[in-house]
Amino acid sequence: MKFECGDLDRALAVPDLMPDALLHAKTCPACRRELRLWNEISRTAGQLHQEWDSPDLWPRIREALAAEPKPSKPWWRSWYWLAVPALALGIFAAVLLRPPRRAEPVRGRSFLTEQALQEVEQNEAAYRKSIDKLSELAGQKLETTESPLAVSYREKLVLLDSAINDVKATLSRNRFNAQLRTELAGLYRDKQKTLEEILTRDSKN
Amino acid sequence: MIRRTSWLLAAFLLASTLQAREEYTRTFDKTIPWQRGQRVQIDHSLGDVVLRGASASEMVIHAVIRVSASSGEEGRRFSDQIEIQTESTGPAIFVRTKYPEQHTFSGWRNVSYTVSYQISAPQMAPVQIRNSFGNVEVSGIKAGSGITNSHGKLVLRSSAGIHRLEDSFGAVQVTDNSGDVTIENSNGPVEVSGIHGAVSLRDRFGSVTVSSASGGVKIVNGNGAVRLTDAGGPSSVTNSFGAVDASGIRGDLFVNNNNGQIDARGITGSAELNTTFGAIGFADIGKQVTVRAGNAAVTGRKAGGGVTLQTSFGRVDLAEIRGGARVVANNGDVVLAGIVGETRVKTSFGLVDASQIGGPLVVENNNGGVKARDVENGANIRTSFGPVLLERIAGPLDVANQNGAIDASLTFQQACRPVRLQTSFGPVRLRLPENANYRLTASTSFGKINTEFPITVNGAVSSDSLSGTVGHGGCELQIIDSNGSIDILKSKP
Repeated sequence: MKFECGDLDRALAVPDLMPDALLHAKTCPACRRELRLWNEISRTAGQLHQEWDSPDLWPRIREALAAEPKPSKPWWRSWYWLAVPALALGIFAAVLLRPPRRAEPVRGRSFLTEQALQEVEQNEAAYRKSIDKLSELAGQKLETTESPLAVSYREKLVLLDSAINDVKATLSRNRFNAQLRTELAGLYRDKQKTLEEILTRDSKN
Repeated sequence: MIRRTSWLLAAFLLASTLQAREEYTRTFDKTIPWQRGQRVQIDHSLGDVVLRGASASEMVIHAVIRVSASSGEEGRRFSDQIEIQTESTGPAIFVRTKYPEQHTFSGWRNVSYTVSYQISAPQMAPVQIRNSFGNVEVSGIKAGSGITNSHGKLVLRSSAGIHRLEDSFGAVQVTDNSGDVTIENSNGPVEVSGIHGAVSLRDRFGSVTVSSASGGVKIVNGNGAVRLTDAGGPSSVTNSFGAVDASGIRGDLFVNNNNGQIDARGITGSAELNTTFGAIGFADIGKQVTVRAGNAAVTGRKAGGGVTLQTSFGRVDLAEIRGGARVVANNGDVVLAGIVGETRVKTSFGLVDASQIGGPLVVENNNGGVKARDVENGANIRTSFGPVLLERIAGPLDVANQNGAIDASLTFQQACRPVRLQTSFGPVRLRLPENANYRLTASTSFGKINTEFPITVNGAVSSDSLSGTVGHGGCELQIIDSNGSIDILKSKP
């Protein structure tokens, strides 16, 4: 496929196209700038990510739902009015059936929820795939030179891969541990940054 | 639309609730009496360790065990199998975290867990901590420590004693310690400040910042910037692919860098600065400076001793050097000002510009001009394919140029200071004080000899050869040119 500037938006959404986009960006200053901006935004957005407990959220939603004006359609045609009691019942049952906890409050967020884990694992798989493509590109560049810098980069990549495997092995026995997930994400970010440095330096030379 | 959104959000919450896992938390608390001489040893993983030194002679352990499982009951059962082992023997109090085995048939495949410690330890107990996948934070201990961590931050604060800290894939921070500190890290930044003692630090792929150490500092790093400020003893930095910035060193400084710049300021001792492919700058060095660089510009101001400098493909700019200067620069300009001692310069394909030189000036250049002003103790200049412009030169002068002009003015001197100027394919213009005394020999070809001085001629007179006496004669003045004119002029008052 011949990559053109118009394909850039699609490449940002489809990780498989990213290597082609990077190759194209090496000879296209406008796309290179776009990619750099995108990377900066992605990094910044990642740092802005925050999670917090919102115990008041559901009551507020329930109040908002209750306060909404009645539908103009007959009530039996609004199927969600049937769902609301079911939802309330479900929550009630969940709260009622939950086993009692010890008094110690959980500080911070130590574990992911099932859904969060699924999302994290999906994102991680896509991210890893992109990094693998980047690795292929950077690896080709690194293999062609024996400069001290290339040796140093190779050493760093080996170190990072070893650490990534280490964390992944630990994660396989502790999948919901948020600290381990954060550590793994940090290592992937470090690897991505290193690979980008390799490719950027190469294109500068 | 708003209603639909609200409903979707509610459905999402319901789904989340149904899929939610249970988190089970229990605590472990224990107090162990401490006997003088006992060390505290903690072996842990998968969670934070916070240890604070206290004046009490007991060790207080508080651990929080958190488990995430499909159900609270499963979490409780797993939590009950996590052991916090404590043991007090003669030499040490041990604390160990033991997690249940998680093999395929153990039934714990879907369980996650973490254990965090808050420990109050006797401040006079030496501390040994080994952790992984969690942060370690230690403060207020007085008898030193050995802490090894991986995949987590390592922080030591407000402590005393000798500490050895190792980490990999985590930041290391040390502040305010009375005693020497040794740090090893592999892929994380290191920040050290307020050390009353020496610092020895090794990192591989991280930035290093050390400030305010009363002893010497030794830093070995690679692929990361190094910043060292305010060290109380001799210090050294080895680095590559990162800038080195060192200032306020009370002692000698040695920097060996590769592919990175060096900036050294305020060094009371001597400085040795080596790098390639990065500029070197130094200022306010108490003693001598040695620079070995390749493909690097060098700028230096104020050195209490001499400067020995070697570089290539970069400009050299030195000023206010209280000793001598020896500069070997290939393919670069050399600018020197205010050099007190002997000054020797060797370069090629660049301009040499020297001013206010207290000692003798020796320049060996190729394919480049030479400018010198206010040289107090004579000059010896060799160059080619460039002009030689000399102003207010005192002492003996010897210039050998090829394919370039010579323009020199000499200051008056009582003692005999011989002058020899030789070039080709360029004019020679020499300005002498009105009361100068020389025994002149001048010759050229394809040019004329012109003089403003009355000459007492010896031998035959021709337009391209002259031999005689200027003033009272005595001191030798020899000018040899070919394909160029010779002018011997009176200096302007």
